[in-house]
Amino acid sequence: MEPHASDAHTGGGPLSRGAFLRLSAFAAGGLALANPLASIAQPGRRTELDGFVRLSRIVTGVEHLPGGLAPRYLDALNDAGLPITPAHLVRVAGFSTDGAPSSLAELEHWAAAHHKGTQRTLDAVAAAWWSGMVPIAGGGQRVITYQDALVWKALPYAEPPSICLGATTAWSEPGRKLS
Amino acid sequence: MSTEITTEVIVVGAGIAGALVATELARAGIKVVILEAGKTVDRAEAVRRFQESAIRVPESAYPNLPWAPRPTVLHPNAYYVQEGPENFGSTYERLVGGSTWHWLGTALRLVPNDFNMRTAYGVGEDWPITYGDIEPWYGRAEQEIGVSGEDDPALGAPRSTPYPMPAIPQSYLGKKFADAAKLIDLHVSSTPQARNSVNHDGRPPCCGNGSCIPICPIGAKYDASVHVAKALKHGARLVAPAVVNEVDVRPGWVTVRFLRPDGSGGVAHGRMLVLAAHGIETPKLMLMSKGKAHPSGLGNEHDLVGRFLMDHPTQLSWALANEPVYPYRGPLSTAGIEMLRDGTTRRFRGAFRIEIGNDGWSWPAGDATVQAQGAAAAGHLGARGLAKLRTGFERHLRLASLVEPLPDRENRVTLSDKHDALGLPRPSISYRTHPYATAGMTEARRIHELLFEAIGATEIRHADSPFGAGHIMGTTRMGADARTSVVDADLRIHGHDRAFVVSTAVFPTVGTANPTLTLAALALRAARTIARSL
Repeated sequence: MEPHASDAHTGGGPLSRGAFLRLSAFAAGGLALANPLASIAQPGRRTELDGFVRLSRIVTGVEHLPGGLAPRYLDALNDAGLPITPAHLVRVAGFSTDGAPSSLAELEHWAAAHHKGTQRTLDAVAAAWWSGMVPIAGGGQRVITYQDALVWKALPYAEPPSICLGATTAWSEPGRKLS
Repeated sequence: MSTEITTEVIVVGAGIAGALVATELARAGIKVVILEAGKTVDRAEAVRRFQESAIRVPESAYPNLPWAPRPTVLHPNAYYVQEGPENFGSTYERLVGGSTWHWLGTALRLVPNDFNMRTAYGVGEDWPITYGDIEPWYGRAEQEIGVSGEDDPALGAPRSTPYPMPAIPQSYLGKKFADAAKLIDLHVSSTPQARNSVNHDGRPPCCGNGSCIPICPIGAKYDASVHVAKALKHGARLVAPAVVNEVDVRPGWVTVRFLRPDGSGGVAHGRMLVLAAHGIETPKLMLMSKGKAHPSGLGNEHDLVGRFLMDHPTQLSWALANEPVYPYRGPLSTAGIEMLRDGTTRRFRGAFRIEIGNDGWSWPAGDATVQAQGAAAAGHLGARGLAKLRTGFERHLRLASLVEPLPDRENRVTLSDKHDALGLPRPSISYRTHPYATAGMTEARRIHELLFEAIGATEIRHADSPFGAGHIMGTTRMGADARTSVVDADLRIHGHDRAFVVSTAVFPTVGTANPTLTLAALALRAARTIARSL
């Protein structure tokens, strides 16, 4: 499956008017992030997970995330010793409501305006989904999945190592071209 | 509870050497007991363990057994006691099937001059056997383990028998390198490999799982569990786990003592002993075995056991192709440049062979999952980040040259005063890269550069220091003179008619070929000698 182009504004180019307005709203509403531990209303687990999935789609660039893994990633990342937990980020960035950034550019602009650990959490969420692994606080990594790691989408002409590719000549021909 | 065993031949080690010897002897109706420190491997469990490993290295499919520890790429010093000046990084397995579980499967022969380096080039040593002596055994070994290949003069090793299977098809990127190599008068050869290209010996052809190191999920790549099973079928007995801690060789019999994981003991009595525990455990056991007939250690009357430790120092280089070449699929290597393995330059620098990797930048940069983590950490997120990964992956090139070292008396294995969980000494390693090999690495780097330029690559990078190849050799060297070698041309320990070493440890020099096929040939040859000696 191809990566989904959900981040229309990943570079430093001009933002659309709509994006600018949304960012302005986040900037106003997100002042509480100056203190990441500021009190934010606690959403329910379902809402939190939905928000985490929305956040994950943006940072991974993949719209259709493998089913059932979001709770495991969220819980593992929340325990990973990040300066701002993904659960907290979901709440303060508005992913548990309707007011969240809708593109990577918006999200990164928003993150840049707030706590310096925010970008690290965004990176960690992408790294986790892409690699299938989450850091363990204190050292080491936890494997959440192998075959469903999203990085394999960047190798569409191959299979994850240990998975059969095909006939004994399968590696002799060019792979599928980048579309 | 103590175990007592009586047999004709005791084989220590169930890797490829021990398994082939045991199979040959059992086929001849000889009673054989194999003692192995490790456990049998469940292939499906090993695949699962590999997939669930956070860092996928050669050992990641297998457990580190508390009673039979081994070095790992990630933690070589957890078992080795490194005395310097360099760390020795090559590893091995202690399992039924041995290190062939995680080997690449490359099945090259040595070239004729590899056996007479002193005579031909004035360096190193001559083997007490010639290429002509071992050539028929190479053919037998290729049949036994199943080698796919094509006769190519550039391999430099004349053959009297055909390969049992057609060559494994070269990868697309290997063919790209072949085209580029012609521009600089080099020739890319299909690599002979112990990997089925067709159904063979009850095992399927390779389907490109791409995890040859550390585990072939379908058994298309040969591993020595094949011959352990054959040995057992012909009546051999396997005792595992059994960690041999002492051997005592007398004129009329041999006694072998071993420990179980719970610390209980056992003893085996036999008429003949075969030590086949690879290049570290074999000399370690010989040094630990200070019996009445060998008070300084078995075969160590001249302080040679454990000396002349060798590996193939490896020059690693990687680059970015100017168009997609589609790595990260198929066997990890299917082609190489073999025409640089001999020549008069061996008078002053090591020869080398160039392995063309199909595994992208997995060796220098970690596998795709690790590289994805790096991309995210660098802030390359979203669909554009994933696309950037892809356009990188499909252009990744990797070359590795295995360089010939010279034997160095000061490179050695001794017994540390630090002990493992069973109270046995850990191996203490002294190791340095000789200038002869360093000069070979410099030349290899130059050729890598030319190859990358010929293929139009950019972002060319070279490792600054040698990697280990996982080829542990030389520590019980073969020779005609008991004062300068540990075993004779038949692999019999000098002065001990009943004890043999069958291991890459017996190589007095190592050439540039991955050593396993030569070991298999020597094992088959030694089995005949042992059978005739009973």
